[in-house]
Amino acid sequence: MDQGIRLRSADFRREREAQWLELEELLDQVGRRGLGSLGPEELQRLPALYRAAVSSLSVARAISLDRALLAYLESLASRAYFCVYGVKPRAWAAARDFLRRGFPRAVRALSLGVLISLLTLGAGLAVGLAVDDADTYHALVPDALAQGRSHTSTTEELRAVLYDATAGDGEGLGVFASFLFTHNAKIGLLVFALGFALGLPSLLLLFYNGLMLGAMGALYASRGLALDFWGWVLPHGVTELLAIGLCGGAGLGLALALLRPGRHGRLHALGLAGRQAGLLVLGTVLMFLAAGLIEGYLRQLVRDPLTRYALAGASLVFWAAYLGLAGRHHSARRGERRRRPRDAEAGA
Amino acid sequence: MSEPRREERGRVLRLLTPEGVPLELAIAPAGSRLAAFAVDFLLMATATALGVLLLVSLGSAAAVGAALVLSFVLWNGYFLFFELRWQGRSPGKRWLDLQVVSRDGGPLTTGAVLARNLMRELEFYLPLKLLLAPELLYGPAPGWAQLVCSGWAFAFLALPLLNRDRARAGDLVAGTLVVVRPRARLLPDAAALRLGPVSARAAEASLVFRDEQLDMYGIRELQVLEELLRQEARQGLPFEVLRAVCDRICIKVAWGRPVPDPEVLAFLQAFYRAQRQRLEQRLLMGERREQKKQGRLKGAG
Repeated sequence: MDQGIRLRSADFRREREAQWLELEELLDQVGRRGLGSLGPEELQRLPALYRAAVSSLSVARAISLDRALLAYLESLASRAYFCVYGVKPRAWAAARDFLRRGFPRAVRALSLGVLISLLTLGAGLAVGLAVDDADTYHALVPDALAQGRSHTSTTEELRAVLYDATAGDGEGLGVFASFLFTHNAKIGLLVFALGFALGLPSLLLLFYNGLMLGAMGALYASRGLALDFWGWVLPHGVTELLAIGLCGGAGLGLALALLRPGRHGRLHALGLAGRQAGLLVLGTVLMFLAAGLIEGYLRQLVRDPLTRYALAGASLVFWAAYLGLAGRHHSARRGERRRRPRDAEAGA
Repeated sequence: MSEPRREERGRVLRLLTPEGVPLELAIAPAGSRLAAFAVDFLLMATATALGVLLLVSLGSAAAVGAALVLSFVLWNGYFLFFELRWQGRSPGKRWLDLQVVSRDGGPLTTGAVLARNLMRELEFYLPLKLLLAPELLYGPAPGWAQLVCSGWAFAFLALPLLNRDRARAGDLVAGTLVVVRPRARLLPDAAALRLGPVSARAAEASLVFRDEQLDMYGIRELQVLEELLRQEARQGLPFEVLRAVCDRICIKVAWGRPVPDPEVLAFLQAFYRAQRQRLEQRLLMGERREQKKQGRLKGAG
């Protein structure tokens, strides 16, 4: 007899159905117009409805064989899960936290990679400085970068590049600055991404960038213009080279995570290093922006070598203090808190 | 009758909610990933092209500078912006119902979104450059070296096909995965469907199944029958299909009497209900019978 058949799972569904549909409606609204569109009452209701849905799912798994119902609850519960637990702080607060703590901490977390990468850059620079013949110079420095400066140029021509603005008016400087920013930032991103390939290409690229700069420095030094040249490079160069070095460090952080993963395995170590590296690289994009502005505007306007050196020195002190010290307190406690929940998925 | 698709082939990501209930999310297949990326790429390229054309047409030097910065920001910021804002979903992913999630089930952090998208430089833009303008990168390098480098670069592109989680390099670096976000609707309970003519439904009352008859089948067959009834409710099935299924059940459970044509649907529904009740009862006792028994029930019913 039909009445003789009472399905517990059907009764269960009848009792809870209304809640599921209410939750679904809230989720649809959040999906369309964001979490902010919920009123205070709905916002309070969401976690309760989520918990109800999760408990329904676990009951349904135990008592129901209605496949469509199980699929529905599965999808409802996971959508609600991401809605409830995926909430992030507001953009403004996140940006402030990033500048105060996130960026410098990420740099310090990857300090071994950063150190290796800066040393490689320096090694390239040192080797470049030893270049004294025209052929090697041509092979190393691409024409676009040389801007016509080579061993055949006269000392006067070389000098002119250092002290003449590339374009007279402010607008021309703007184009120059944005070109420098995007060009250098792209190199930085590439140096980072190549770190995934076990770091070797990153190291090569870093070494080569140092080499080019060193070779140019050698050219100027051979004409007795060493001081003028470094006064031309360093005001933005400190920021820019540091940023490239940091990108390389982030890339090497990935490589190191793959090479010496520690006790939790490669995937886990890579995930940890990658998240830090992502933050670090975002910070370097800002550094490239600063370097581009200094190079494009400030350096063209400041001609006095002494002021240029003062600018370079000030930027070095600033970055050292900021990256070395900002957000240092609590850092021990924070680090511990971050590690604990991840121990659970050690096998991943 | 051909069996309806039972289970998605691919892998699932198991998350444990803080309430202690495991959730299962299907890993997004490579095809939908690619399609989502194509949508995003088109949007991104169109926006960049339009913006740059507009700015350059203004003609001033400042506009050229702005165009440079704009294309950089769009090219690198598109995915960052949307994946941070929409909980790991770019417009393309939204379109295809995909979502980026953290492998450990925690919230998707800014660092993770940054890391997974910065790797595109290596995974996509580099191979793209190699295809379109190899001389820019290689210069006068010898042919064999170009070949080795290209092979190496394209290996990163193919990485998602080489692991079960369909993770690309960016996902590995960020500890993320892309999963399907299914949009299941709440369908009516299959046991509550009332199909077929009213006159035939009266016959249902006389259809009573014995336990040993119901024990012939398992959960798999029950859910196949559920799908059959749902299809009949949705769009109707050819009668021969229903008849064939009905006959097969009759033989399997040794249902002695013939079922007349008008009552076939009623028989199937009655059997579904009885079967589900039986299996759910046994489920409560901790017995999960997945599959049917071999052979058929001996003796007439």
